[in-house]
Amino acid sequence: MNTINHCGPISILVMGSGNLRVSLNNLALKSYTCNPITMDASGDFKVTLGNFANQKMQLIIETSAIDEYFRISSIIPYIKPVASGYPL
Amino acid sequence: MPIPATGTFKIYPSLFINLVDGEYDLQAGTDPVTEQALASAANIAAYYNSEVNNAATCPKLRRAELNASATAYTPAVGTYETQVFLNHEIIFDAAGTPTPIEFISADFPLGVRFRQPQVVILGTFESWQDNRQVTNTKLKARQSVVFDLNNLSGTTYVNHISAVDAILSSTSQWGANQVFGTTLGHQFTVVNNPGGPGASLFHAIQNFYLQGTYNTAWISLSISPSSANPGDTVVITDANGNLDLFTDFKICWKPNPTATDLVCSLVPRTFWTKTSTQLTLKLPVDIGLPYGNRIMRIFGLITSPTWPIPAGASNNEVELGRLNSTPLLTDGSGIYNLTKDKRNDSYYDRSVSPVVLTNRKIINPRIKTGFF
Repeated sequence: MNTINHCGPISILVMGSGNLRVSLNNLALKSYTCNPITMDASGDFKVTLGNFANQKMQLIIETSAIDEYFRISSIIPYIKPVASGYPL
Repeated sequence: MPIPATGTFKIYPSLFINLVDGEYDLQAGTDPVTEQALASAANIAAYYNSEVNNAATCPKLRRAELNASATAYTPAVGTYETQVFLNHEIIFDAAGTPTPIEFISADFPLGVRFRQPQVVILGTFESWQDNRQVTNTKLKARQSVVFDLNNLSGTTYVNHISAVDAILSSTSQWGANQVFGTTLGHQFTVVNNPGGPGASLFHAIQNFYLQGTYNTAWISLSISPSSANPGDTVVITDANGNLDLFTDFKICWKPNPTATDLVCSLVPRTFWTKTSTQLTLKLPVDIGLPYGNRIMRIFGLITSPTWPIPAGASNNEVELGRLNSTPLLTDGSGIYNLTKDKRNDSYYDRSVSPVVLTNRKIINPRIKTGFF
Protein backbone atom coordinates (compact mmCIF):
# COMPACT_ATOMS: atom_id res chain seq x y z
CA MET A 1 0.00 0.00 0.00
CA ASN A 2 2.73 2.43 0.90
CA THR A 3 5.25 1.27 -1.62
CA ILE A 4 6.60 4.00 -3.77
CA ASN A 5 6.75 2.67 -7.27
CA HIS A 6 8.38 4.11 -10.30
CA CYS A 7 6.74 3.76 -13.65
CA GLY A 8 9.04 3.78 -16.63
CA PRO A 9 8.20 2.55 -20.07
CA ILE A 10 4.58 2.05 -20.94
CA SER A 11 3.87 -0.32 -23.76
CA ILE A 12 0.46 -0.33 -25.36
CA LEU A 13 -0.83 -2.65 -28.01
CA VAL A 14 -2.96 -0.27 -29.95
CA MET A 15 -4.38 0.39 -33.32
CA GLY A 16 -6.17 3.52 -34.21
CA SER A 17 -5.95 6.89 -35.71
CA GLY A 18 -4.55 10.03 -34.26
CA ASN A 19 -2.51 10.63 -31.15
CA LEU A 20 -2.98 8.55 -28.06
CA ARG A 21 -2.35 10.69 -25.03
CA VAL A 22 -0.84 8.93 -22.05
CA SER A 23 -0.43 10.35 -18.60
CA LEU A 24 0.09 9.19 -15.06
CA ASN A 25 -1.74 10.58 -12.08
CA ASN A 26 -1.28 10.11 -8.39
CA LEU A 27 -3.99 10.26 -5.77
CA ALA A 28 -3.50 13.96 -5.45
CA LEU A 29 -3.94 14.29 -9.20
CA LYS A 30 -0.42 15.34 -9.70
CA SER A 31 0.32 14.15 -13.16
CA TYR A 32 3.05 13.27 -15.50
CA THR A 33 2.39 13.57 -19.20
CA CYS A 34 4.11 11.07 -21.41
CA ASN A 35 4.90 11.65 -25.01
CA PRO A 36 1.82 10.93 -27.13
CA ILE A 37 1.71 7.81 -29.22
CA THR A 38 1.00 8.19 -32.89
CA MET A 39 -1.41 5.44 -33.77
CA ASP A 40 -1.78 3.57 -36.97
CA ALA A 41 -3.90 0.79 -38.30
CA SER A 42 -1.30 -1.90 -37.88
CA GLY A 43 -2.06 -2.74 -34.28
CA ASP A 44 1.41 -2.88 -32.85
CA PHE A 45 3.00 -2.33 -29.50
CA LYS A 46 3.82 1.30 -29.05
CA VAL A 47 6.02 2.50 -26.24
CA THR A 48 6.10 5.78 -24.46
CA LEU A 49 8.22 6.67 -21.49
CA GLY A 50 6.93 7.56 -18.11
CA ASN A 51 9.02 8.86 -15.27
CA PHE A 52 6.75 9.00 -12.32
CA ALA A 53 7.25 7.75 -8.80
CA ASN A 54 4.42 7.70 -6.32
CA GLN A 55 2.80 5.56 -3.75
CA LYS A 56 -0.23 5.17 -5.93
CA MET A 57 -0.48 6.04 -9.55
CA GLN A 58 -3.02 5.67 -12.26
CA LEU A 59 -2.48 5.46 -15.97
CA ILE A 60 -4.83 7.43 -18.18
CA ILE A 61 -5.07 6.89 -21.90
CA GLU A 62 -7.24 9.00 -24.08
CA THR A 63 -7.75 10.72 -27.36
CA SER A 64 -8.69 14.33 -27.56
CA ALA A 65 -9.32 15.28 -31.14
CA ILE A 66 -12.36 14.74 -33.22
CA ASP A 67 -12.32 11.59 -35.29
CA GLU A 68 -9.50 10.00 -33.37
CA TYR A 69 -10.10 6.52 -32.13
CA PHE A 70 -8.19 3.78 -30.45
CA ARG A 71 -8.53 0.07 -30.01
CA ILE A 72 -6.35 -1.21 -27.22
CA SER A 73 -5.69 -4.82 -26.46
CA SER A 74 -2.95 -4.58 -23.93
CA ILE A 75 -1.47 -2.03 -21.60
CA ILE A 76 1.84 -2.81 -19.98
CA PRO A 77 3.52 -0.30 -17.74
CA TYR A 78 6.86 -1.31 -16.30
CA ILE A 79 7.02 -0.76 -12.57
CA LYS A 80 9.77 -0.95 -10.09
CA PRO A 81 9.44 -0.27 -6.42
CA VAL A 82 11.90 2.31 -5.31
CA ALA A 83 10.92 2.66 -1.69
CA SER A 84 8.77 0.82 0.73
CA GLY A 85 7.27 3.98 2.08
CA TYR A 86 7.88 7.24 3.80
CA PRO A 87 9.10 7.41 7.35
CA LEU A 88 6.35 7.68 9.85
CA MET B 1 13.68 10.27 3.24
CA PRO B 2 11.77 7.30 1.80
CA ILE B 3 12.50 3.89 3.17
CA PRO B 4 14.36 1.71 0.67
CA ALA B 5 12.25 -1.05 -0.74
CA THR B 6 13.16 -4.64 -0.10
CA GLY B 7 11.46 -7.93 -0.64
CA THR B 8 8.45 -8.56 -2.82
CA PHE B 9 5.28 -6.62 -3.34
CA LYS B 10 1.93 -7.42 -4.79
CA ILE B 11 -0.59 -5.46 -6.73
CA TYR B 12 -3.96 -6.45 -8.10
CA PRO B 13 -4.45 -4.67 -11.35
CA SER B 14 -7.80 -3.40 -12.34
CA LEU B 15 -8.98 -1.29 -15.15
CA PHE B 16 -11.52 1.44 -15.37
CA ILE B 17 -13.05 1.86 -18.70
CA ASN B 18 -14.50 5.26 -19.06
CA LEU B 19 -17.02 5.05 -21.82
CA VAL B 20 -18.30 8.28 -23.02
CA ASP B 21 -20.93 9.04 -25.52
CA GLY B 22 -19.91 7.41 -28.65
CA GLU B 23 -19.75 4.37 -30.66
CA TYR B 24 -17.66 1.54 -29.47
CA ASP B 25 -16.93 -1.93 -30.63
CA LEU B 26 -16.58 -4.76 -28.24
CA GLN B 27 -14.56 -7.66 -29.38
CA ALA B 28 -16.01 -11.07 -29.14
CA GLY B 29 -14.61 -13.24 -26.44
CA THR B 30 -14.41 -12.99 -22.72
CA ASP B 31 -15.39 -9.46 -22.37
CA PRO B 32 -16.00 -8.22 -18.90
CA VAL B 33 -17.59 -5.07 -20.21
CA THR B 34 -20.98 -6.42 -21.02
CA GLU B 35 -23.87 -4.83 -22.68
CA GLN B 36 -25.62 -4.78 -19.38
CA ALA B 37 -22.88 -2.77 -17.82
CA LEU B 38 -22.94 -0.35 -20.65
CA ALA B 39 -26.65 0.00 -20.50
CA SER B 40 -26.51 1.02 -16.90
CA ALA B 41 -25.09 4.39 -17.74
CA ALA B 42 -27.16 7.39 -16.89
CA ASN B 43 -28.57 10.02 -19.20
CA ILE B 44 -29.15 7.81 -22.16
CA ALA B 45 -32.70 6.80 -22.90
CA ALA B 46 -32.03 3.96 -25.24
CA TYR B 47 -29.46 2.37 -27.40
CA TYR B 48 -29.57 -0.07 -30.20
CA ASN B 49 -27.44 -2.07 -32.42
CA SER B 50 -27.89 -0.76 -35.84
CA GLU B 51 -25.01 -2.00 -37.87
CA VAL B 52 -25.85 -5.34 -39.39
CA ASN B 53 -22.47 -5.85 -40.86
CA ASN B 54 -20.78 -5.64 -37.52
CA ALA B 55 -23.20 -7.59 -35.43
CA ALA B 56 -21.64 -10.96 -36.00
CA THR B 57 -18.21 -10.44 -34.62
CA CYS B 58 -18.00 -6.99 -33.28
CA PRO B 59 -21.29 -5.69 -32.07
CA LYS B 60 -21.38 -2.00 -32.28
CA LEU B 61 -23.46 -0.25 -29.72
CA ARG B 62 -24.74 3.05 -30.64
CA ARG B 63 -26.55 5.12 -28.17
CA ALA B 64 -29.24 7.46 -29.13
CA GLU B 65 -31.93 9.33 -27.38
CA LEU B 66 -35.19 8.67 -29.07
CA ASN B 67 -37.31 11.65 -29.50
CA ALA B 68 -40.64 11.12 -31.15
CA SER B 69 -41.33 14.78 -31.19
CA ALA B 70 -39.35 16.72 -33.65
CA THR B 71 -39.71 19.89 -31.73
CA ALA B 72 -37.80 19.25 -28.56
CA TYR B 73 -34.83 17.35 -27.41
CA THR B 74 -32.92 16.92 -24.24
CA PRO B 75 -29.19 17.28 -24.35
CA ALA B 76 -27.67 14.20 -22.93
CA VAL B 77 -24.13 13.51 -22.11
CA GLY B 78 -23.41 10.06 -20.95
CA THR B 79 -20.24 9.30 -19.13
CA TYR B 80 -19.76 6.41 -16.89
CA GLU B 81 -17.16 4.04 -15.76
CA THR B 82 -17.09 0.39 -15.32
CA GLN B 83 -14.33 -1.30 -13.44
CA VAL B 84 -12.80 -4.45 -14.65
CA PHE B 85 -10.88 -6.62 -12.25
CA LEU B 86 -8.49 -8.88 -13.97
CA ASN B 87 -8.44 -11.46 -11.18
CA HIS B 88 -4.78 -11.94 -10.97
CA GLU B 89 -2.10 -10.53 -8.84
CA ILE B 90 1.28 -9.37 -9.83
CA ILE B 91 4.22 -9.94 -7.61
CA PHE B 92 7.37 -8.03 -8.18
CA ASP B 93 10.64 -7.85 -6.46
CA ALA B 94 12.21 -4.63 -5.35
CA ALA B 95 15.62 -5.99 -6.20
CA GLY B 96 14.67 -7.03 -9.69
CA THR B 97 14.25 -5.26 -12.96
CA PRO B 98 11.14 -3.25 -13.69
CA THR B 99 8.15 -5.55 -13.78
CA PRO B 100 5.58 -5.41 -16.50
CA ILE B 101 2.17 -4.90 -15.09
CA GLU B 102 -0.16 -6.17 -17.72
CA PHE B 103 -3.54 -4.58 -17.35
CA ILE B 104 -5.22 -6.42 -20.10
CA SER B 105 -4.10 -9.98 -20.14
CA ALA B 106 -4.44 -12.42 -22.97
CA ASP B 107 -7.24 -14.06 -21.05
CA PHE B 108 -9.41 -11.05 -21.39
CA PRO B 109 -9.17 -9.74 -24.87
CA LEU B 110 -10.69 -6.36 -24.71
CA GLY B 111 -10.71 -3.84 -27.42
CA VAL B 112 -12.45 -0.62 -26.90
CA ARG B 113 -12.86 1.55 -29.85
CA PHE B 114 -14.14 5.03 -29.54
CA ARG B 115 -15.35 7.18 -32.28
CA GLN B 116 -17.24 10.32 -32.40
CA PRO B 117 -20.86 9.49 -31.92
CA GLN B 118 -22.93 8.92 -34.95
CA VAL B 119 -26.58 9.47 -35.11
CA VAL B 120 -29.02 7.76 -37.31
CA ILE B 121 -32.16 9.31 -38.53
CA LEU B 122 -34.78 6.76 -39.32
CA GLY B 123 -37.99 7.09 -41.05
CA THR B 124 -39.21 9.50 -43.58
CA PHE B 125 -38.64 13.14 -43.92
CA GLU B 126 -41.57 15.37 -44.27
CA SER B 127 -41.93 18.90 -45.25
CA TRP B 128 -42.55 21.09 -42.31
CA GLN B 129 -44.68 24.11 -42.38
CA ASP B 130 -45.36 27.24 -40.49
CA ASN B 131 -42.55 28.24 -38.25
CA ARG B 132 -40.12 25.84 -39.80
CA GLN B 133 -39.39 28.32 -42.50
CA VAL B 134 -39.91 25.81 -45.19
CA THR B 135 -40.07 27.03 -48.70
CA ASN B 136 -40.10 24.67 -51.60
CA THR B 137 -38.35 22.00 -49.71
CA LYS B 138 -39.08 18.40 -49.27
CA LEU B 139 -36.90 15.38 -49.06
CA LYS B 140 -38.49 12.39 -50.62
CA ALA B 141 -36.54 9.77 -48.85
CA ARG B 142 -37.40 6.65 -47.01
CA GLN B 143 -33.93 5.65 -46.15
CA SER B 144 -31.93 6.23 -43.06
CA VAL B 145 -29.42 8.95 -43.07
CA VAL B 146 -26.28 8.61 -41.05
CA PHE B 147 -25.01 11.84 -39.70
CA ASP B 148 -21.36 11.76 -38.93
CA LEU B 149 -20.90 14.05 -36.00
CA ASN B 150 -17.39 14.92 -36.72
CA ASN B 151 -16.56 18.53 -37.00
CA LEU B 152 -19.67 20.02 -35.61
CA SER B 153 -19.53 23.67 -36.23
CA GLY B 154 -20.94 26.48 -34.22
CA THR B 155 -23.65 26.95 -36.76
CA THR B 156 -25.76 24.54 -38.61
CA TYR B 157 -24.28 24.14 -41.98
CA VAL B 158 -23.78 20.97 -43.82
CA ASN B 159 -20.48 20.56 -45.51
CA HIS B 160 -21.46 17.96 -47.99
CA ILE B 161 -23.63 14.96 -48.36
CA SER B 162 -22.38 11.78 -49.86
CA ALA B 163 -24.50 8.88 -50.84
CA VAL B 164 -23.45 5.33 -51.42
CA ASP B 165 -22.56 5.97 -54.96
CA ALA B 166 -22.22 9.67 -55.38
CA ILE B 167 -21.38 12.92 -53.79
CA LEU B 168 -24.61 14.77 -53.92
CA SER B 169 -23.33 18.21 -53.45
CA SER B 170 -20.16 20.15 -53.39
CA THR B 171 -17.97 20.45 -50.39
CA SER B 172 -18.81 24.05 -49.97
CA GLN B 173 -20.88 25.18 -47.11
CA TRP B 174 -24.54 24.76 -47.62
CA GLY B 175 -26.84 27.64 -47.44
CA ALA B 176 -30.49 27.81 -48.14
CA ASN B 177 -32.23 25.99 -50.94
CA GLN B 178 -29.48 23.57 -51.71
CA VAL B 179 -30.40 20.84 -54.12
CA PHE B 180 -30.41 17.44 -52.59
CA GLY B 181 -31.55 14.47 -54.57
CA THR B 182 -32.49 11.30 -52.80
CA THR B 183 -32.79 7.74 -53.92
CA LEU B 184 -34.49 4.97 -52.11
CA GLY B 185 -32.18 2.53 -50.46
CA HIS B 186 -29.16 4.74 -50.20
CA GLN B 187 -27.50 5.74 -47.03
CA PHE B 188 -26.19 9.18 -46.79
CA THR B 189 -23.51 10.66 -44.68
CA VAL B 190 -23.84 14.26 -43.75
CA VAL B 191 -20.64 15.88 -42.73
CA ASN B 192 -20.70 19.19 -41.03
CA ASN B 193 -18.23 21.96 -41.43
CA PRO B 194 -14.96 21.80 -39.60
CA GLY B 195 -15.03 23.50 -36.31
CA GLY B 196 -15.36 22.90 -32.66
CA PRO B 197 -18.08 20.93 -30.99
CA GLY B 198 -21.06 22.53 -29.45
CA ALA B 199 -23.52 22.97 -32.27
CA SER B 200 -27.01 21.85 -31.78
CA LEU B 201 -27.26 18.71 -33.80
CA PHE B 202 -30.97 18.88 -33.84
CA HIS B 203 -30.82 22.31 -35.20
CA ALA B 204 -28.53 21.04 -37.87
CA ILE B 205 -30.96 18.32 -38.71
CA GLN B 206 -33.77 20.78 -38.93
CA ASN B 207 -31.86 22.77 -41.38
CA PHE B 208 -30.98 19.71 -43.24
CA TYR B 209 -34.62 18.94 -43.61
CA LEU B 210 -35.32 22.39 -44.69
CA GLN B 211 -32.74 22.56 -47.33
CA GLY B 212 -33.21 21.23 -50.72
CA THR B 213 -35.42 21.78 -53.63
CA TYR B 214 -38.65 20.19 -54.54
CA ASN B 215 -38.03 16.64 -55.51
CA THR B 216 -39.91 14.58 -57.96
CA ALA B 217 -41.14 11.14 -57.21
CA TRP B 218 -38.48 8.50 -57.02
CA ILE B 219 -40.82 5.97 -58.39
CA SER B 220 -43.25 6.58 -61.17
CA LEU B 221 -45.60 3.69 -61.51
CA SER B 222 -48.22 2.49 -63.89
CA ILE B 223 -50.02 -0.82 -64.01
CA SER B 224 -51.54 -2.58 -66.94
CA PRO B 225 -54.16 -3.81 -67.28
CA SER B 226 -56.02 -1.98 -64.55
CA SER B 227 -58.37 -4.88 -64.09
CA ALA B 228 -57.33 -8.46 -63.68
CA ASN B 229 -58.23 -11.72 -62.02
CA PRO B 230 -56.19 -14.52 -60.46
CA GLY B 231 -54.24 -16.22 -63.18
CA ASP B 232 -53.87 -13.08 -65.26
CA THR B 233 -50.58 -11.37 -65.95
CA VAL B 234 -50.06 -7.72 -65.19
CA VAL B 235 -47.23 -5.39 -65.93
CA ILE B 236 -46.05 -2.68 -63.57
CA THR B 237 -43.78 -0.08 -65.02
CA ASP B 238 -41.55 2.31 -63.17
CA ALA B 239 -40.38 5.02 -65.49
CA ASN B 240 -37.64 5.97 -63.01
CA GLY B 241 -36.11 2.53 -63.13
CA ASN B 242 -36.10 1.78 -59.41
CA LEU B 243 -37.72 -1.66 -59.46
CA ASP B 244 -34.35 -3.27 -58.82
CA LEU B 245 -34.73 -2.33 -55.22
CA PHE B 246 -37.57 -4.76 -54.69
CA THR B 247 -36.71 -8.34 -53.95
CA ASP B 248 -40.14 -9.82 -53.42
CA PHE B 249 -43.74 -9.03 -54.13
CA LYS B 250 -46.95 -9.72 -52.40
CA ILE B 251 -50.59 -9.34 -53.19
CA CYS B 252 -53.14 -8.23 -50.68
CA TRP B 253 -56.89 -8.29 -50.85
CA LYS B 254 -59.92 -8.28 -48.67
CA PRO B 255 -61.09 -11.79 -47.84
CA ASN B 256 -64.66 -10.65 -48.13
CA PRO B 257 -66.32 -7.42 -49.14
CA THR B 258 -66.91 -6.24 -45.59
CA ALA B 259 -63.53 -7.15 -44.21
CA THR B 260 -61.44 -4.38 -42.80
CA ASP B 261 -58.13 -6.17 -42.78
CA LEU B 262 -56.22 -7.30 -45.79
CA VAL B 263 -55.03 -10.78 -46.44
CA CYS B 264 -51.70 -11.01 -48.16
CA SER B 265 -49.83 -13.67 -50.03
CA LEU B 266 -46.26 -13.61 -51.17
CA VAL B 267 -46.03 -14.11 -54.90
CA PRO B 268 -43.95 -17.19 -55.72
CA ARG B 269 -40.65 -16.32 -57.24
CA THR B 270 -41.48 -18.17 -60.45
CA PHE B 271 -44.50 -15.98 -61.00
CA TRP B 272 -42.66 -12.78 -61.70
CA THR B 273 -39.81 -11.36 -63.67
CA LYS B 274 -38.51 -7.89 -63.55
CA THR B 275 -36.07 -5.40 -64.84
CA SER B 276 -35.32 -2.05 -63.36
CA THR B 277 -38.25 -0.54 -65.22
CA GLN B 278 -40.76 -3.30 -65.61
CA LEU B 279 -42.29 -5.98 -63.45
CA THR B 280 -44.26 -8.74 -65.11
CA LEU B 281 -46.29 -10.59 -62.55
CA LYS B 282 -48.73 -13.43 -62.87
CA LEU B 283 -51.44 -13.36 -60.28
CA PRO B 284 -51.54 -16.71 -58.49
CA VAL B 285 -54.78 -18.58 -59.07
CA ASP B 286 -54.95 -19.78 -55.53
CA ILE B 287 -55.42 -16.42 -54.00
CA GLY B 288 -58.91 -17.57 -53.21
CA LEU B 289 -61.14 -14.76 -54.27
CA PRO B 290 -64.73 -15.77 -53.94
CA TYR B 291 -65.90 -12.84 -55.93
CA GLY B 292 -64.73 -11.26 -59.07
CA ASN B 293 -63.08 -7.96 -59.72
CA ARG B 294 -61.77 -7.83 -56.20
CA ILE B 295 -59.42 -5.04 -55.54
CA MET B 296 -55.95 -6.45 -55.36
CA ARG B 297 -53.02 -4.45 -54.13
CA ILE B 298 -49.52 -5.33 -55.22
CA PHE B 299 -46.65 -4.49 -52.95
CA GLY B 300 -42.97 -4.56 -53.59
CA LEU B 301 -40.85 -5.65 -50.68
CA ILE B 302 -37.36 -4.54 -49.97
CA THR B 303 -36.15 -7.43 -47.89
CA SER B 304 -32.58 -6.33 -47.56
CA PRO B 305 -32.66 -2.65 -47.06
CA THR B 306 -29.45 -0.83 -46.59
CA TRP B 307 -30.86 1.13 -43.75
CA PRO B 308 -32.00 0.06 -40.31
CA ILE B 309 -35.64 -0.76 -39.97
CA PRO B 310 -37.17 0.47 -36.77
CA ALA B 311 -38.99 -2.12 -34.76
CA GLY B 312 -42.63 -2.27 -35.73
CA ALA B 313 -42.18 -0.18 -38.82
CA SER B 314 -43.46 -1.23 -42.15
CA ASN B 315 -41.21 0.85 -44.25
CA ASN B 316 -39.78 -1.97 -46.22
CA GLU B 317 -42.67 -2.28 -48.59
CA VAL B 318 -44.16 -0.07 -51.21
CA GLU B 319 -47.48 -0.38 -52.91
CA LEU B 320 -46.77 -0.65 -56.59
CA GLY B 321 -50.19 -0.96 -58.07
CA ARG B 322 -53.79 -1.63 -57.47
CA LEU B 323 -56.02 -3.74 -59.66
CA ASN B 324 -59.72 -3.37 -60.16
CA SER B 325 -59.66 -0.05 -58.42
CA THR B 326 -58.96 3.57 -58.92
CA PRO B 327 -55.33 4.65 -59.04
CA LEU B 328 -53.16 4.48 -55.98
CA LEU B 329 -54.38 6.38 -53.02
CA THR B 330 -52.97 7.27 -49.69
CA ASP B 331 -54.66 5.17 -47.09
CA GLY B 332 -52.74 6.28 -44.07
CA SER B 333 -52.19 2.71 -42.98
CA GLY B 334 -48.46 2.99 -42.90
CA ILE B 335 -47.93 1.35 -46.22
CA TYR B 336 -46.11 3.50 -48.64
CA ASN B 337 -47.64 5.07 -51.61
CA LEU B 338 -45.22 7.17 -53.52
CA THR B 339 -46.66 7.56 -56.94
CA LYS B 340 -46.40 11.25 -57.13
CA ASP B 341 -44.92 13.94 -55.07
CA LYS B 342 -47.65 16.31 -54.15
CA ARG B 343 -46.64 19.07 -51.89
CA ASN B 344 -48.55 19.13 -48.65
CA ASP B 345 -50.08 15.76 -49.39
CA SER B 346 -49.41 12.96 -47.02
CA TYR B 347 -47.54 10.62 -49.25
CA TYR B 348 -45.27 9.41 -46.55
CA ASP B 349 -45.27 6.65 -44.05
CA ARG B 350 -46.38 8.23 -40.87
CA SER B 351 -45.91 5.10 -38.84
CA VAL B 352 -42.27 5.82 -38.35
CA SER B 353 -41.20 8.86 -36.46
CA PRO B 354 -37.86 10.34 -37.16
CA VAL B 355 -35.39 9.52 -34.50
CA VAL B 356 -33.62 12.67 -33.65
CA LEU B 357 -30.58 12.75 -31.56
CA THR B 358 -29.23 14.69 -28.73
CA ASN B 359 -27.09 17.67 -28.62
CA ARG B 360 -23.97 15.80 -27.89
CA LYS B 361 -20.97 17.13 -26.19
CA ILE B 362 -17.86 15.39 -27.23
CA ILE B 363 -15.83 14.18 -24.30
CA ASN B 364 -12.46 12.64 -24.66
CA PRO B 365 -12.92 8.93 -24.50
CA ARG B 366 -10.43 7.41 -22.19
CA ILE B 367 -9.29 4.34 -20.35
CA LYS B 368 -7.96 4.61 -16.85
CA THR B 369 -6.26 1.97 -14.86
CA GLY B 370 -6.89 1.44 -11.24
CA PHE B 371 -4.31 2.90 -8.89
CA PHE B 372 -1.29 0.66 -8.58
